[in-house]
Amino acid sequence: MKILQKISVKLLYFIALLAVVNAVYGRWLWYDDVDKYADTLENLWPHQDRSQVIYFGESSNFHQAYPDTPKQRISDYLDGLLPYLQVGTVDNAGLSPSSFLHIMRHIPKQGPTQAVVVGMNLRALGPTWMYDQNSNYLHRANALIAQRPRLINRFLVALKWYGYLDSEQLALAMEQAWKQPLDCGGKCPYANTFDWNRGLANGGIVRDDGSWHMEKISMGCHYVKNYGFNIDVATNPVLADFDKMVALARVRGWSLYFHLLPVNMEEAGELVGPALCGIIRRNAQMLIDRYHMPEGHVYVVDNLELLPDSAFTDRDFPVEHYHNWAKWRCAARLAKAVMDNGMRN
Amino acid sequence: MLLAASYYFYMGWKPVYALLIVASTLVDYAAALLISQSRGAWRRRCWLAVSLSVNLGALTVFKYYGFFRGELAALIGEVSWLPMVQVALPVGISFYTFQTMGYTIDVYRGKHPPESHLGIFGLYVAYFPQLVAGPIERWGHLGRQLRSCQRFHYPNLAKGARLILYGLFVKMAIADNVSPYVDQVFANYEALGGAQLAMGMCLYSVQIYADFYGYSLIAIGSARLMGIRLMDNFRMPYLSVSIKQFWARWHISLTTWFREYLYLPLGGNRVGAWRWMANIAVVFGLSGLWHGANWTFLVWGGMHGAMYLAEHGLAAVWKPGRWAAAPGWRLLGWAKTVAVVTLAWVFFRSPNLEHALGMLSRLVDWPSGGAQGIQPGLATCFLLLLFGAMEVAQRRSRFDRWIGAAPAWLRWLAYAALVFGIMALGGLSPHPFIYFQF
Repeated sequence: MKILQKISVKLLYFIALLAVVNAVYGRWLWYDDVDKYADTLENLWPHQDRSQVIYFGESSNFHQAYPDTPKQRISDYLDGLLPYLQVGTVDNAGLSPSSFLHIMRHIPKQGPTQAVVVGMNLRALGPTWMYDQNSNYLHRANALIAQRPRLINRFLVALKWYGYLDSEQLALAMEQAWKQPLDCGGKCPYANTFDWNRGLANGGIVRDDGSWHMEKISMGCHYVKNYGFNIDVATNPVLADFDKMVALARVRGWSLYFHLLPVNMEEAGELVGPALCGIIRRNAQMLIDRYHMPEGHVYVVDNLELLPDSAFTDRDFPVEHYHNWAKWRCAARLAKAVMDNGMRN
Repeated sequence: MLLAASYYFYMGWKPVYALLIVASTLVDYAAALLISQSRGAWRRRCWLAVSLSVNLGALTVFKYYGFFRGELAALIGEVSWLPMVQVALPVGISFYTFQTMGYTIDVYRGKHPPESHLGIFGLYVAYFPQLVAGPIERWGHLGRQLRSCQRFHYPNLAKGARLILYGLFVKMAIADNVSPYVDQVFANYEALGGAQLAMGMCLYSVQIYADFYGYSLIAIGSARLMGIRLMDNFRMPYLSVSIKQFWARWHISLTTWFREYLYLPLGGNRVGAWRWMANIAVVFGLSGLWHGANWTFLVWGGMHGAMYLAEHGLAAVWKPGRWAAAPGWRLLGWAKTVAVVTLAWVFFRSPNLEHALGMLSRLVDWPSGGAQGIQPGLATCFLLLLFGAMEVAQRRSRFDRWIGAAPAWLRWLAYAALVFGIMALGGLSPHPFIYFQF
C-alpha cells in the first residue's frame, strides 16, 4: 500500500511537470514547429476572425499557368462574386481532406465563419494519392496540429506515431490497393487497376502506323492509376474525414459546400475509354448521394464535367489545374450555390 | 508470458523471421544438451560445430552472401552459377546468433550446465529488451536471472524508469536532432569545405554514440523494470585516452564477446609478437565485418586495429614512465583517440570506400565555406551542451545511480530538462536505431 502511495505521488509530480513543460512549449515553441512542419495552418490565422466563408483547397485552387495573368485563385473569384461576404483561403499543394479537417477544427467557435467550402478532389480518395510519399508529411502536419495538448502532439510526431509508412510500405499498400477487384459496372476491360495499367502500358495506344504512342500511353496510365478505383464506403479513410467535416459543420452551425472538382473527362475518355469515365462518374455520384443534404446545410457543388479539355493546363499528368477562365466558371457555380442557400449578406 | 511478449515484439517487424529465432533456439538448445551428454571429445566437438555452423550459416546467407557474390563477380566476371539471394536482413540477427553461440561454447567449455527448460532458454535468446540491438548477454549472467522468479521491487522501478528517461533523451533529443545535419553533410560532401566536413564528422561521432547508447539505456532500463539486470554496453567511450581504453568502453558486450570467444582461443597475447599482431588484426577485422558486409566496415575495423597495434608498439619502445599520467599527456592521448575514432567513423558511415576517401580528401580544403545553410540549429547546440554536461556529471557512476543520489531539487530539475528535451525539442525527422541494421 505504501509503495502504491509512493508511486502515485511520483506520478502526480510527473504529470505536474508535464503540464508545465506543455505550457512552456505551447506558448513559445509550438509556433516555430507549425511554421516548419504545418505551415498551412498559418493560412487560416489572418482569416479566422474576419471571413464569413473559408475555402479549403489544394493546388487546383491556386495553380497558375501561362498565359494567365493576373494570378487568380478559385477562392479569389468566389470572393469577387460574393461582394458582401469575405472569403478567406486556406490552400497548399497536395493537401488531403484530412489536412482540411485538422485545420478546420482550429476555426474559432465564436468567429464570424458561416460557411466552409472544401475542394473535393476525386483522386484524393484513391490509393495513388493516399499512399503517395507526400502522405507522410501531411500526416505529420496533422498530428502536430491535432486537438490534443501540444506537447503530446509533438512527442507523437517525434515517435513517428502518425501513420508513418516507409517507402517500401507505401509502395506495397498502393500495389495491394491496385490489385483489388475492380467494379466498372460490368464493362471492365481488366480485372483490376494493376492489370489495366500494365495492359495500357504494353502498347495500349498506337498511332496509325502501328507504333506505340508513348506520350498518350503514359498519360493514359496516369489516368488509370489515379481514377481507376472503387470507393469502399466501409473503409475509405477520406470518406471518414468528409463525415467528420459534416459532423463538425453541424456542431459549429456552418454551411458546408463540397466543391466536386472538374476532371478532364474528354481526355480520360479518349485515352482510356468509357469504362474509366464510368468509374469516375459512379464515384462522383456516390459522393453526391452521400453528402448532398440541403436540409442539413451540406451541399455538393458538382463541377465534375463542367470544363472542356481546353480548360486544363497540364498535359503530362491528369491534374486538376485550370486556366483562369475555367477557375472563374467553377467559382461562379460555387457562388450561385452559396447565394441560392441564403448567404447573401 | 515474457517469451510470448518477446516473440510478439519481434514479429511486429516481419513475422516470418521469428522462425529464424525459433530455429536458432532449438538448434542451440539441443546442441548444448547433446554436448553435455556426449562422452568423447570428438562428439562434443561435432555438436559444437553443428551449432556454430547453423548460426554462422544463417548469418552468412542473410548478411554476407550477397556481398561475397558481388565481390566474386567483380573479380571473375561470370557468377550466374551462384544463386541470387535477395532477402531483407533480419533485425538483430547478429546479436542473437552471437548470444546463442556464446551459450553453446560455454556449455562446451563446461562453464555451466545446459539449460533443460526450453522456455527459459527460448526467453534467453529472444528476451525483447535486448533482442534486436543487444547488449549481447552471457548465459551465466542473464540465464540465471531468468530462471529465478523476479518480484516487484520499487528501486528497480525507479532505476529502470530513470534509465529509460535518459535513454529516450539521448536518442530523441541528441541523435535524432543531429542526424539531419549529418545526413546532409555526408550526402553533399562534394560541395562542402573542410570546416563543415569536420563538423559533420564530429557530429556523426555524437550521433552514433547517442543512438546506440540511448538504445542500450532503454533496453537496460526496460529489463530493470522487470528486475533483470543487463550488462552495461558503454562507459564514457569518448573520454578514453587510448584505442585500447576506447574498446574497453564502447559496445562492451561485443568487445568482451570477441575477447572471450575469439581472441583468447586464438592465443591472446600468450603467443609470439607476430602471431599476437595477427590475432589483433583478425579480431578487429571480424569485429568490423560483424557490422556489415562492406569493405568500409573492414577498413573501419582495420583502422582501429592498426592504431591499437601502433599504441602498443610505441609503448614498448618508449616505456612510458610517470609522465604518462600527467594531465597534458593524457589530454594529448584523448585528442589522438577522438581524432582516430572520428576519422574511422567516416568509413563506418559511408556507403563505399570512394565516398569515404572523397570526404577525407576534402577535409584538407580548410577552412573554405562551401554550401551555406547546413548547420545545426540553436536548440541542437543547447541540447548538445546539456548532454555533454550530463555525461561529465555522471562520469563516475551510471545515470540511475548518479541521479538517485542527487538531492531531490536537482533530480527533478534534471527530469524537467530531460522531459523538455525529449518532448519539446526531440528530433522530428527521426531515424531508426542505427544498430538495428546489424
